Amino acid sequence: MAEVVLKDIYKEYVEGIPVVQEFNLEIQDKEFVVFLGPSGCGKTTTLKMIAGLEDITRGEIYIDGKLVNDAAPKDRDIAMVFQSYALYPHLTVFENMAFSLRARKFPQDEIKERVERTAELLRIRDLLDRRPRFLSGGQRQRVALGRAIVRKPKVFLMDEPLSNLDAKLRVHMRFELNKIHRELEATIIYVTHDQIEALTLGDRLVLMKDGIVQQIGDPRTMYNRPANVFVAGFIGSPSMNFLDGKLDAENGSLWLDLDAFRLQVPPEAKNLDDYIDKNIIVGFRPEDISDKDRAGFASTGNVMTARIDVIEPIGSEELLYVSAGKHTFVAEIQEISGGTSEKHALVEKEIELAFNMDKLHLFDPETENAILNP
Amino acid sequence: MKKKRWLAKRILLGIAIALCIAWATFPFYWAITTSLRKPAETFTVAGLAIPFLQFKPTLENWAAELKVPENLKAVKNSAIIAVTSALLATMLGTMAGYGLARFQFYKIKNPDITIWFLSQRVLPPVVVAIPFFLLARQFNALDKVSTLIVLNTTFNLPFAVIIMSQLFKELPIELEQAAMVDGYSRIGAFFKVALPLSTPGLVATGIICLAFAWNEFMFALIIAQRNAITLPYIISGASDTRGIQFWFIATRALMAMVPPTILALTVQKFIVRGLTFGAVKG
Repeated sequence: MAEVVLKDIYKEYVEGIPVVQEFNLEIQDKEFVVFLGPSGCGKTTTLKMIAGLEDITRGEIYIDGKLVNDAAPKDRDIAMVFQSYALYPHLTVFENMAFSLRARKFPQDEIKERVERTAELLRIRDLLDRRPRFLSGGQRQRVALGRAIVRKPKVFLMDEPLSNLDAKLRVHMRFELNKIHRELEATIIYVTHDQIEALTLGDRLVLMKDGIVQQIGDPRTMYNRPANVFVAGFIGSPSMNFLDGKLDAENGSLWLDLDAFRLQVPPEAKNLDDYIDKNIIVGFRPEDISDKDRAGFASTGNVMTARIDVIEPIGSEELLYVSAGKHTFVAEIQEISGGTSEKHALVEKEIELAFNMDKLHLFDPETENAILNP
Repeated sequence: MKKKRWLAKRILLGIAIALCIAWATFPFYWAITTSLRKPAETFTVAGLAIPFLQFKPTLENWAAELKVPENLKAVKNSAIIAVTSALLATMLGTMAGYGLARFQFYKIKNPDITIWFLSQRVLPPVVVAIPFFLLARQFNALDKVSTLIVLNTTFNLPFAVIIMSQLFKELPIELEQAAMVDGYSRIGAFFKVALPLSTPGLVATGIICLAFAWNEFMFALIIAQRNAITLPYIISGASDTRGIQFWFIATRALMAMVPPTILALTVQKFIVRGLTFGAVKG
């Protein structure tokens, strides 16, 4: 196992139009790093550059301390799991898994032993004689994983390996991947556009947009202390509410003026003086807004009245889509309506909501960078 | 009512199928029956010329034909030319097609190269017949089997390139990338993954090139004199100052028809596609 270092990676296909730029990252040994971002953000391109399947326009990539810019994929000692699985259709599952070992001229009995042990680990022993086309999606996924594991490479690269599975299987494979990562103590670089996958799997996330890294951090940091509006909106489901407001100073305390209502900024908030009397983006996660009666943190400075537009039950919680003045936002609260008829009766009624001001996020409207995180 | 219409449909369909079959098999029928008739009977027996009913079949045309050394030479030459040029065209076409499918060319863009190859196929060969004849004479290459191999390869290559590049384009590139990550070089990935997966298409391309070369007449006509004669060449030779000798045309046509037919029937299963099915996604 090994560490991977990316230094000032820059990639363009057409001159002057960067696909990836200023990419700097040091991946520790045994770390599970997730490249996250919307489609077309350059995450798969970056992964393929690490694999050696794409050239780098500028920058340096080190695997295990060795510069690999010009090394062929086969000389980088990496294994890759493709989104499409890319199983060799003309070979059996056994031969698919043995393929890389045969390429490296392993002795016959070691190939057999390794393939069988890996098949055991992934519970695909019964499938070894079959061709890929006779396997289900989940089985193919396991074979693809097995093909990567069997070689014990320095680094695993995974390109959206779960995106072709149905929702239930995906959750299960997520759990299996976590387990495999622990068992193999492997360095894994994982690409996904699914933030839940990223949050559940990654030791560290790299969130990208338009080829530029937006933030690098562990899942908790990314969730609680997003660097900018994009990160705040991308991570978390349902995503963070953004409200356009103004910062006012009054009698020694700061207030957020949101036209229809006002919220008092907690006194601990620092470095906001530059923004007084200026526009500001206010961010709240849905779970930090609650109905007044049940919120322990409700006070005069954080309660407002909103009109309920839609109620969406999501199991134990409910999503309340509400509007107040020009603002619409979502609150995630404990069930307030018992049944369907009650639910319908509540729609278009008013409700008093309290904002948990300790969880307030503020962003600069120009740069969209965070100026206050909890 | 419904049943009546269904019946009418079936009958019409049956007639259509019968017509198609008649259209496809009549040349065989004509050649076989004509080859079994005495020369004079090829003119006198009319209509469908049903053996035993309208004439007594005889093998004397065949016996006479097989004694002619030119005929055997033509069969041998046709086989050598067709097989060699088909192998060459398929081999070169596979490599060029792979290059065209997998690599980006900048000076002359990929679509332009494709069009260039295509234009070679569209070009009427007769346009270059005279220049080729002059070239061949200049290099002392008239009446040589090797010259015909080169010419047939030249004219079948564009077809092979285009078919093969299309085949490789349809092959998911991830399969080769996976092979490269798994420990093979680009060429290794080509031989281990891309080539085995395109075998059905490869065989089909080879067969079609073989058929083109086997049937080729014009180049044989201008290049061959005595040594490099081919089957189509001697079929046309059955028409001379004595008139058209239908009995010889029939025997020679059968000699030309039977081998490709047998070949096509034996390799049929290769031409069936779908081997790559299940390579990607669910």
